[in-house]
Amino acid sequence: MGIEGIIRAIFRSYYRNPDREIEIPDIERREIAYQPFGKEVMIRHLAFSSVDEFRRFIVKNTPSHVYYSTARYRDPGNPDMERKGWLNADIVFDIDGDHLPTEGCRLSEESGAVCIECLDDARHETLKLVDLLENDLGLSESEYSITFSGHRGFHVHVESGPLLELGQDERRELVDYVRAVGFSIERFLDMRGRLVAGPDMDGVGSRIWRCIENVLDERMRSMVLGLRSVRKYVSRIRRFENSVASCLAVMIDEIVTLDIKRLIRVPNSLHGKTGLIVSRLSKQDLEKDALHIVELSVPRMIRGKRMRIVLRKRLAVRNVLGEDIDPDRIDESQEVSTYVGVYLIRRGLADPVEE
Amino acid sequence: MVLPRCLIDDYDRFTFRYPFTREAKQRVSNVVIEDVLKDREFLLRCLEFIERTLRTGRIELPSDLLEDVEKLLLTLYTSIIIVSLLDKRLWTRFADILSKYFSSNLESEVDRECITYIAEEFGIDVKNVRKVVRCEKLQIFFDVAVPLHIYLRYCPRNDPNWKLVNRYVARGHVLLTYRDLARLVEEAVEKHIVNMLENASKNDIIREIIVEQIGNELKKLETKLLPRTALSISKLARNVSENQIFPPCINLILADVRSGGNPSHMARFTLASFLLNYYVKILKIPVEEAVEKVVDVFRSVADFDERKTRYQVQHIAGLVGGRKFYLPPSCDELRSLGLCPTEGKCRVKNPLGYVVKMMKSLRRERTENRKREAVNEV
Repeated sequence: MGIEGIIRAIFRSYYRNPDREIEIPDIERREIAYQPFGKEVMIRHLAFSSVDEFRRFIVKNTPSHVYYSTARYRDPGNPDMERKGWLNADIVFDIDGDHLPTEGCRLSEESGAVCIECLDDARHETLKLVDLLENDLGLSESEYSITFSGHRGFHVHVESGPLLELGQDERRELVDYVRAVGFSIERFLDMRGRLVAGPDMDGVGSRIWRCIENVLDERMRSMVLGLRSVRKYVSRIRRFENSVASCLAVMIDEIVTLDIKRLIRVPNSLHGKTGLIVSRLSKQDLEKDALHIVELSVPRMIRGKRMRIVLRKRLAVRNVLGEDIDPDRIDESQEVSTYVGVYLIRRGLADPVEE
Repeated sequence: MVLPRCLIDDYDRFTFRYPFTREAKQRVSNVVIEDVLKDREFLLRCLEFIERTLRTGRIELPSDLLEDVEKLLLTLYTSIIIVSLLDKRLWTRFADILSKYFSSNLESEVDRECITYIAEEFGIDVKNVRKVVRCEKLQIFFDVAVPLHIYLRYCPRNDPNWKLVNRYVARGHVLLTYRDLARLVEEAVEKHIVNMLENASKNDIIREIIVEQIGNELKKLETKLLPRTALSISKLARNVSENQIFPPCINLILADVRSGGNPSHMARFTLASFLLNYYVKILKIPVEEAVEKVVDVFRSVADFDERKTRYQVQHIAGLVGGRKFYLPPSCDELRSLGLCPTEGKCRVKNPLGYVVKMMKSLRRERTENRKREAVNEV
């Protein structure tokens, strides 16, 4: 059996007895799509009446990738998008390492393999988003869910509540809010010109306060955060506005949040290009570290196992998903954890060595 | 809900100032609208009211209406029914003016309970700011809190002051002053009036009665009020080169297509939907002919497949599939997709708006040139 066959067998076995139950809320209203192994086609417009029926389907068909619609439809299986009957859509935020301007993510992007630092940067950005969701948007932990994307980022889903009804225009406002696009500090001055922000204030005020503390120099900080009017210094403060906005901003991929008919990976399914579990995470998981998340996302049946591979090219990162490899050794084989091996093979960066 | 003082103390004043409330509608609920619409004299007076309102941009009430609330209400409601039979471009203008009348009264309202009461009537759930945030400073600075989704539904667009990012958001609410709340109500009232126009436009019986009574006058009014740009722009557009009036984003995709490039799916959709709308809505070319012209544009792309392209262009034109004639993506969407080379500096909302803007400026230029030539001749 070739490596493709082995990986397929791992996927099939995982779906027969998954590490974590595959759940899709309101599955009867969602469109399901999947990509079969070895094919570049996407089979769309599937509908299931229950999660059990869906689980049986994926055991039988063993998809390489499996997605569900963020939208709920009256007739989700209808192949004509106009006739599906859109009802509402989850609000989904996507934080992906390839959008982050950090050194780790730049190197990961360059090599095609994600290093643990980049995943950790994405984790920090997701925590920033969670803070905004809880403080500003007033969502409790039970009202949003966090998923590891199975590669280099995270998805945060809001799956209930009135925000689901928002149309695209309204979602754009929300996206601009999260990304702090158009932020003007002047709008947060009261009648007397004092800043409406404080460390113990509810909502955005405490985030603005923290950002000013981080960004401004000592003199400006004491002036802006003091009790005096700062209106006459507005032109000076404005020079810092972009830095405050960058600090407030969460780098989400705006297209994902704006799209009200998006297909997104099924939580706790396997990512076909990495072999990792698209794990549902708790806030506590997210608060630990990136390595913990990778450990959670390695399928049980290959956990602790090792294999030999040969790199197809030199890699710009030494650390792949938390494990150090020799990124320059391209002529000889090397032993790595099976999950790292599967990851590099599925990314087209390495070949297996048959023993 | 507890009735506010402004309603209990003076019912007449309340319904006069807030004509689209439940209370105002109840006031004329015993009137049979079909009977009103058969009164030609009354309809003509409504036409005068509509013309005056749309010309001046504000409501000027004649003295007889100032003294008779029921007559005022009937005039307003009947005018909405009449406007629903006019070109849709006049709807938003009319709804905007009526909603401003409503909100200017609300802004000057001394009874704060009144503002909250009316806001709730229009679907804006209002909480006292003290019930949402604990911080005293915020409680002094703001009066009320509105749920985020309601704020997003009604906040005025394209105004930096109303951008969510520049509002105080806490615990799923947007904190507002009473003045802000009145402005939010204005938007809700405008949407409500547009809904009234939409519903009235679907009523064939009403249409028949009005057309029978004042059909000719209605047509004349529409010609008088509609901006004459549409026709003249289509004439002008035929005589200028396209890249002169197309927005930079479209010119860029066109250049890519013409040089045998392989633009992304969204770039292709943008180009096809833009050209279809340009040909059909601005140049007034029949849709089938427009489809062929667009298919021809795509002949030079690297992976051209005539059958597939025609089907997709027909789909965008609403001739097959979902039967929806797609608009090109908005400038905001293009910016998100990385297809806007000017980063929003064109100051339009949609690529088609750029064409209209350019045509208007060309027309102005030509008129000025003509004037200058006339002066020189003298």
